[in-house]
Amino acid sequence: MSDNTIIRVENLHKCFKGTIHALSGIDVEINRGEVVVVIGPSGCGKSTFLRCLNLLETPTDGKILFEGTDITDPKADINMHRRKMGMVFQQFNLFPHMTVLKNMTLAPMKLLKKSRAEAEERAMELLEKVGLADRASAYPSQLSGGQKQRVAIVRALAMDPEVMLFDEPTSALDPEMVGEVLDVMRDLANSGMTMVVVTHEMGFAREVGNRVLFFEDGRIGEDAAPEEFFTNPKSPRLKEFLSKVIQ
Amino acid sequence: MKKKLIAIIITAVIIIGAGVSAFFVLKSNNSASEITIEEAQKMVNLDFDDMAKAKAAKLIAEKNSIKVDSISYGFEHDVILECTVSTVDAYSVVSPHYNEFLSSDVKKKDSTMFKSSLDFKIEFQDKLTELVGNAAPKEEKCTIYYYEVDKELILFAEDSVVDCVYGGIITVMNEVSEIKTYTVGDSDVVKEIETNNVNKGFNECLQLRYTAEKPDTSSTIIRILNDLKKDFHKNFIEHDRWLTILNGLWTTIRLTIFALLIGIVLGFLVAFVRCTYDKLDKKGPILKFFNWICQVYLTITRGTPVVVQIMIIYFVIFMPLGFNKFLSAVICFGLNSGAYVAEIVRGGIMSIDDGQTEAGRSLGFGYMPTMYHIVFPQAFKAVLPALANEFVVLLKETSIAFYIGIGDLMYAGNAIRAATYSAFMPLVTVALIYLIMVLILSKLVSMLERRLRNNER
Repeated sequence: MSDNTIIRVENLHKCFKGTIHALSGIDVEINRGEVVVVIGPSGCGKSTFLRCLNLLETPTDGKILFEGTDITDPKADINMHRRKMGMVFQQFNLFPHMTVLKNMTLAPMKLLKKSRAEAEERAMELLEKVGLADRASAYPSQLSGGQKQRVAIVRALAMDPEVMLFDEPTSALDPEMVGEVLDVMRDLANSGMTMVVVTHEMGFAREVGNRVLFFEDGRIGEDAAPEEFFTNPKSPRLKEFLSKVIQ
Repeated sequence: MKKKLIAIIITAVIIIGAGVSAFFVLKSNNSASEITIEEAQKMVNLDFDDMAKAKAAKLIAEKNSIKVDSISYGFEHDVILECTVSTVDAYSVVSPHYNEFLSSDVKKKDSTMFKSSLDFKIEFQDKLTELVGNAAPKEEKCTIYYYEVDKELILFAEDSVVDCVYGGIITVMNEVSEIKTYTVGDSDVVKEIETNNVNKGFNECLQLRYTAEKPDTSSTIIRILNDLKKDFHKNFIEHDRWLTILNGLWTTIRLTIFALLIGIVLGFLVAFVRCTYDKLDKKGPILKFFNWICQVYLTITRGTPVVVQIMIIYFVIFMPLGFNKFLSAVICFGLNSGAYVAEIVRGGIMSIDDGQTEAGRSLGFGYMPTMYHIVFPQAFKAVLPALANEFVVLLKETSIAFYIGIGDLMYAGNAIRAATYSAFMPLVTVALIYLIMVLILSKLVSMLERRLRNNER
């Protein structure tokens, strides 16, 4: 394992209720600054894989090493590790009872013990970047889907994470709002953030991704650079998949 | 908006107009329907013959006759009859014998030969009847009133008229009842018994069925209102009974608030344990134990009647330990309400999307801080109306505290009912007070719901 590796997954298995084998032996390394895009047909285990990375799903077997520490070890303080792994959900999951600013400052203030002023300054800075500074005092219900997802991204960023995990961030959005979210993600990738993105946006995968993983039946079917991945797919399942999604 | 307002105003005017006109229709017709002298005579004969109850008075009634001379009509539905009364002068024959009546009884006492009160009364009656039988005839003028109530003429004769007709019976009775101190021998106790017996004897021998009370000649509505007013006065003003109600109300409110506080704390704890148990994959033995306790608690509290619970808590558990009733009731209702609050809050917590927990956890919050900062505030907001409703239910339920004798509102109403023998006024008042409190609370709840809905949604 090189110094540059930030996440290393070894022989990851996940069974639901003992019967459904969602992940069956995943081995992958993710390097610092890399943008890894995960695609695959529905039910292939890509979301489960992502959720296993920060232990929102408890793996049945296997190891996940984050910055060299095995976080699947029961003794590991997962809450400490999660602070360094921002996560963005398909359904945004903003806290509806708090303003945008409060959403963003809650975790930094409570967990990183930042002062209110400090946390708010950082939050405003991030909001400025995604063009939502004027919505700081709005409640999530007053925002559009795209705005909500941008807030969700900067909420995760407010914790200054090492890795950002995106679980189908544009799937719940109206088509005209997808662009604004992808723009933010693109900027984030350009700034050198390590990202793992589960998505159906092939264009984004091709343009922004450093590596693309194809999941099939709980396994990694293909792991390649985007150009190679899209132009010269090796796995027959991937060929079939690409022919369906790219007209 | 404007149309609605106009419609409301018109309706109000119609209703008020109808009410006022009905009032005047019922109130009008200020004089009684006219009657003839013969009819008046019949009424007077009937009423005064009927009036004498006891033997001596009856004797006079047989000897007297009342002749109606003239009829006039007064202002308040009244018929005024000027009459000539021929009767016997009972007063002048009875009054010189007061001392005799008294001493006859006393003599028996002094010789320690106690006479039964029945014997005494019979002897007394015979003597009085004999005296009255010998009374001389006399003639007097008097005015008798009849008031029309519900198309019926009702006699109203003042004491002086009854006195005149019965030859001074009222005077006799009044004078005898004024005999308070009659010195006999040395014993005060004997003296007391004497005068009581004599008073009783006179009263029973001369008793008239009639007690002068001017009939209420107002319209039916007004009469009902007057009766209510009287009833109200008896039930609330007399002996400061309203204070009982007020104290009861205060007890009810205190009971409800304390019970609610316990209920909310307990409810949240139980709900938290149950939700944690439901949500966590790995369940430790401590959690399992607490969950078991909670389930037992919920089953018992929700599966048995509150009356039974409060009786058991007070009579079986707390009374032997020397705790007071109020504390027992607070704990009982607290436990009871806790069970319902627990289910409400559990529903609230479960209604919060799992994504909220996941978002909290993914930021690095532990389970408890996620609950505290993210899930509970939302759940609380979601269940606030249901909790407020529980408050309303609890308020009504505290009336059960009556069963262990706590002086709450219900108890106060019942105490007044027992003291005044009127059920309507105190019980209906208690019901009204509960209703008003519930209405006010419900109004506040719906205002709260509206506020919550407007906020952030």
